[in-house]
Amino acid sequence: MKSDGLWSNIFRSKRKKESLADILHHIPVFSELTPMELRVLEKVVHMRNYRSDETIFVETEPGAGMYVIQNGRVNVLLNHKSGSPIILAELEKGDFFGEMALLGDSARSATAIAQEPCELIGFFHPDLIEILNLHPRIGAKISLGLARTLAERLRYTSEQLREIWDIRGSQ
Amino acid sequence: MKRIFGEIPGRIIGIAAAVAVIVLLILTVQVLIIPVVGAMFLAYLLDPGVVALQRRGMRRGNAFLVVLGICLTALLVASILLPGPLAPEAANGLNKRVPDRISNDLERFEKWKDSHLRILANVDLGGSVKTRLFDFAGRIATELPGLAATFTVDILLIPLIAFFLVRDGRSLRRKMLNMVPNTYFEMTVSMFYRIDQQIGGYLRGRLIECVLSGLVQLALMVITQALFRIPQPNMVLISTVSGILNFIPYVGPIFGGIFGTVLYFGTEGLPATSIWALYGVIAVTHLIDNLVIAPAVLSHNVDLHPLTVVLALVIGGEVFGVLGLLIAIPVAASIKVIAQEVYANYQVQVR
Repeated sequence: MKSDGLWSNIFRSKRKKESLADILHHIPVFSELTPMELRVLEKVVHMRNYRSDETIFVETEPGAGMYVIQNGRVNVLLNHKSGSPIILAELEKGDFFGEMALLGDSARSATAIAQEPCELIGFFHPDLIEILNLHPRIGAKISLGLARTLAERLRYTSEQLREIWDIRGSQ
Repeated sequence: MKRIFGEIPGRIIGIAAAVAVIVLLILTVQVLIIPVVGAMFLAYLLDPGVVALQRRGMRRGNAFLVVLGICLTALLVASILLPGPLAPEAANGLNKRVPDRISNDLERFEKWKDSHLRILANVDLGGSVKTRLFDFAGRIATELPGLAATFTVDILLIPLIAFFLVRDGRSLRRKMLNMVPNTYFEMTVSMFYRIDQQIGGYLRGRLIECVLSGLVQLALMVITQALFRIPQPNMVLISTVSGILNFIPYVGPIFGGIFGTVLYFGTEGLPATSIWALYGVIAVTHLIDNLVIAPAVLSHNVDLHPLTVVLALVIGGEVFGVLGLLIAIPVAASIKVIAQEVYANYQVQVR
């Protein structure tokens, strides 16, 4: 038991770093990056901790970038005329949100609230610009990943819209 | 969303407190202002070169040293190849002829005043101006050794601080961001980025503008001498100083004119047309700068209203002297960005 503790102490920091790279590697925006390139990204991202029920960002607020959930759960809400917000998505470890703001000055399209104490990895527009300046190859891969993700979201939204129209048409 | 309404005064108070602390810190440690501001200028100016070398795999600190080395070597080579900025006889002239010429001109003015403005006949205007001028010159001469020592220390400190700013600036900024509470975090990230972009763009744009306006002035002085046969001595020195002083918006060219005038007063046998021609050259250079150079190189880096620029210069000059004139615009631009970010966030919360 004692030796386990010793080993876990020796490798603790390394494991922590690897897990951050692992999480980022599973995000479609960063999936094309090599382990070496993920190390560069690790140095740029911001680690943030949120309390339960704490607002991460608010709908219509100017957005700065995206978040990846390292630990915890986040609800994405949309304000409704009725006053009670609609839950758009319940996100958990390994999910990401807010990626549209990576493209630049755009207002948040929804509100994100931590459902429980959360550890988030923040990657923001200035970070993307810095990577594009200093590591154009990595920047290009991330931009391509971002374009792919946004295209996927657009395709999904179009399908949803078509379904709504189909339902309305059948009524 | 109601909870956030309660946070608005808190946010504004928080930001105001942070700004107050920074201003207080700057005022307390005034000795460090010149080297720190100078280092920031240097770091911003050399950043494109540093980034270019960094892309080739060089470490940020080493890249800065290489770029700084190249710049210093270029300056050294230029100072060796270009004609001596101030010939010894001209320096002598500054010591002897400037006071003589000022005395003569003031005496001539007194005679003219006594014959044309009888109402002021009993007022010794010339004597009073002369006393004040020589007092001022005496004070400068007394303080010169101290100023020279401070200047030398600053010159040595600036590259040293700039090196650490360039090498560790990004990690320092990350550490500062880590300390920002979640509520202000995204706003601060955007604010840092926009301030960085605005100041960097402004300083680099102004540097290009200064170099180009200095070159235009030199070309015009050469043309004046060659085509109109009006002597323009020390043209390299005057153009260089005018180019550097052009960094100060609006009043920079006037300072350049004053410098040229003092230098021309010190040159023996120079016709008055030389000084008038110099004023003409400065005016045309300023015109070309405003109409052609500045719009091309500055674009919308710092989009400040002219009245804001003038007010910033007056306040900067009043509080920090010449240094205040140099840093007034970047500081005003930073305050504008901070205000814009806070206001944008406030608007969102109120909506």
